[in-house]
Amino acid sequence: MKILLVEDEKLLSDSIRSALVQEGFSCETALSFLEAREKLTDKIYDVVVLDINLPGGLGFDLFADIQSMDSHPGVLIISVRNSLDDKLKGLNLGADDYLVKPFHLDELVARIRSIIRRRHPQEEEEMVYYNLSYDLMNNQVKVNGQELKLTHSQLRILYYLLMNKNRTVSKESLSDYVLKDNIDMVDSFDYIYTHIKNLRQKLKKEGCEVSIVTMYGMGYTLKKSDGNQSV
Amino acid sequence: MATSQYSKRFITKIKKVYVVALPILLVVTILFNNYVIDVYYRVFYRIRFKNQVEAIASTVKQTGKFPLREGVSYQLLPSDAKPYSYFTYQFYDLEDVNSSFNFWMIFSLNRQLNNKRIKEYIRTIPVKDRLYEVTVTEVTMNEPGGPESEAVIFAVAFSLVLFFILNWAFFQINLNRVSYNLWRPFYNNLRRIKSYNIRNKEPLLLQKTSVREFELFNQAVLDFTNKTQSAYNQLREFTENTAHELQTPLSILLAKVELILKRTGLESEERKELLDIKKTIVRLSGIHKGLNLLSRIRSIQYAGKIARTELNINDIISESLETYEELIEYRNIDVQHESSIQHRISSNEELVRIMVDNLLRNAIQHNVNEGKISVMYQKYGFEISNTGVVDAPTDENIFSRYHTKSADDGRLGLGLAIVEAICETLEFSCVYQYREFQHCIRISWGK
Repeated sequence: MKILLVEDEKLLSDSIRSALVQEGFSCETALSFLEAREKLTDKIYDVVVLDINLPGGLGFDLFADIQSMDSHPGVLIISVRNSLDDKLKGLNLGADDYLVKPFHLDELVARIRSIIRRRHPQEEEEMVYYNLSYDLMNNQVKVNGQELKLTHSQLRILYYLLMNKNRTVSKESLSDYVLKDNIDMVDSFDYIYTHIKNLRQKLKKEGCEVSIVTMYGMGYTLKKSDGNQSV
Repeated sequence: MATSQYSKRFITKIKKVYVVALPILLVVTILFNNYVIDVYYRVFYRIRFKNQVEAIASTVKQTGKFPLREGVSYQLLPSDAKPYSYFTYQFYDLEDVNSSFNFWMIFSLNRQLNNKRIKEYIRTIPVKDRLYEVTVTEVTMNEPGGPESEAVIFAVAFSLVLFFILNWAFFQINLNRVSYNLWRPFYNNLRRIKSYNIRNKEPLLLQKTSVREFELFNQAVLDFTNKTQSAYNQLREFTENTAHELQTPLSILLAKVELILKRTGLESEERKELLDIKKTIVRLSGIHKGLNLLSRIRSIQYAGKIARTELNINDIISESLETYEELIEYRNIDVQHESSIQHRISSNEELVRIMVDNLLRNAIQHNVNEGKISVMYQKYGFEISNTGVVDAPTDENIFSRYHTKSADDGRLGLGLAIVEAICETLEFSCVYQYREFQHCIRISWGK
C-alpha cells in the first residue's frame, strides 16, 4: 500500500512517515504544494494524507489532481482547522476522512486502514482473527458465527484492538480513541478497564480463542489465548 | 465663551426667521382690524338698538299708542306682509362744506366735513291684525366718515392682544424648532454610540454637526473607539493565530513521544514519564481546542453573519444525551428528560449543538456518581439542573471562570465560557442558580 504524505512540517512529516513505515506501508513525503503535485502526476498512490496549509497553495486545490488519477486514491485530511465549515469543505471535495491536529499516530493508522478497506470492500468486509470476526458493514461481532451483544464503547475497543492486532496498544491511545472528546469526563483508565473486563468476560463466555492481554505498564494486546490466561 | 457662541448662533437663527415673520404678523393683525370693527357694529350696536326697539314695541303693545321720539318712525305695512327685523349701518363721505381750499385747514383737527354715518334698526310690530314697521335711526353728522372711536379703540385693543398672543406662540414654536434642530445631531450620535459594539466589524460613524463643541466631542469619541477597536482586533487576531499555530508544534511533540513509546526496550520508569509528557500534551491541545472554539465563536459574532435554520431543541438535547448514554450509565446518573413542550426555534445549528453538548458535558462531568440530571422545558427556554460535587453556591460568575476546582486535575473549565459566548452570539440569556442542592443553568430566548 503506497501512501503519499503531504505535510510541510518536516519534523511532523518524519514522525508520521516512520510510524507508517513501522506499520508496513510504503510512504513518500512531499513538503510543499508543488512537490505534492509533481509526485501525484508521476506515481500512483493508494492513500494521500493531506495537510491543508501548505507553502505554495492550499491542500484543497490538490483535489483536482488527485481525482484525475486513475487509481482514485483515498484522501485523509490532517489539519489544525477545527471548524465544521472546513471539515465539510474537505469532505465535500471528496476527502474520505478529516483528522484534526494534534492526533495520535495510532488513530492516524487506524483511519488510513479504514480508508483502504472502504476503497476495497470486496477484499475485507469483515476482519477475522481466529474464530472472532468483526462485520464492518453492520458493526457486529461474531464468535464462531454467534453474534455477540456489545455496547458502543466495547465495539470501539475491540475494533481498535483488532486494527492493531498482535501489537500493544497503550491505554492512552485506546481511551482517546474510545472516549474521544469525553476523555476528561470520567476516570478514563477506570472506564477502559471496566469495559475491557466486561469484554473479556463476554469473549470468554462465548469460547473465543482470542483474548485481551494486559501488558503491564504498556497497554493491551489482542492475542490468541493460551488457555490459562487469567481474567 | 462657549455659551455666548452658542446663544449668538441661536439668536441669529431666530432673528432670521423674524425678519420675515414680523411683517406678516403685522399685516395679518391690521387686516383683522376691519373685521373686528365690523363685528363690533354687528354685535354691540345691534344689541343696543335692539333693546331700544324692544322697549318701544312693548309700550306699543301695552298702550296701543305710538310714542313719538327723535329718530323713531312708524309705517303701516300692507296686509300680506311678513314680520321681519334687521340692523344696518352705513358711512357716507360727502363733499367738503367749504369748497374753497384753505392751506391752514390742514392743521385744524376738527374740519367741517359734511360726512355722516347712519345706523338703523328696523322691525315689525303687530297691532290689531296689522303689521307696523318701526325704524330707529341714528344719524351722526359732521364726523370723519369712518367707524366711531369706540369701535376703533376696541379693535386696536383687540388686535394688540392678538398680536402679542401670536407673537408669543410663534416664538415658542421657533424656540422648540431651533433647539430641536440644534440638538438633533447630538441625540443621533448618542444613539449610534449606544448601539455601537466593539465586536462588530463596522467602525463607529458619527453625524457631522455645525456646533463646534459637539464636533470636538465627536472627534474625541471617534478617536477613543478607533483606538479601542484596533486594540481589540489585534488581540483577537493574535489569539486566533496562536490557537492555530500552536497545534502544529503540539502535533509534532505528540507524534515524537508516541514514536519513542513504540520502541521496545524502554524501562518502565521511562515509559511512565513519557506517558506523563503525552498526557500533558493532550491536555494542552485540549485547552487550545477550547480556546480556538471560543475565538471562533467570537469571530462569528464579529462577522455579524449568523446562518439560521429551524431547529428542534428537544431533538438536539435527546441526540446529545444519546452520545453520553454509556458515560451516564457508567456513572449511574439518573437522567430525567421531559419533553412536555416542543421547542422549535430559528438559530444556528452548529452553535446550538455545541452549546447543548457543553451544558450536558458540564452536567455529567461535575456530577457525582449516582447523581441526578434533569432537563426541563419552559415557555421560552430550558433548564438543565444537576447534583454536583460543590455543595456551596459560589458567588463568582461561573460562566467566566476558566478553571474549575484545583481538585479536578486536568479538567478544563472552558465549557461554560463557551456556552456564555454562544448565548451572547445568538442573543440568548443564561442564568445560573443553586437551588435545592442542585446546580441549575437556564437558557432562554425571546421575550
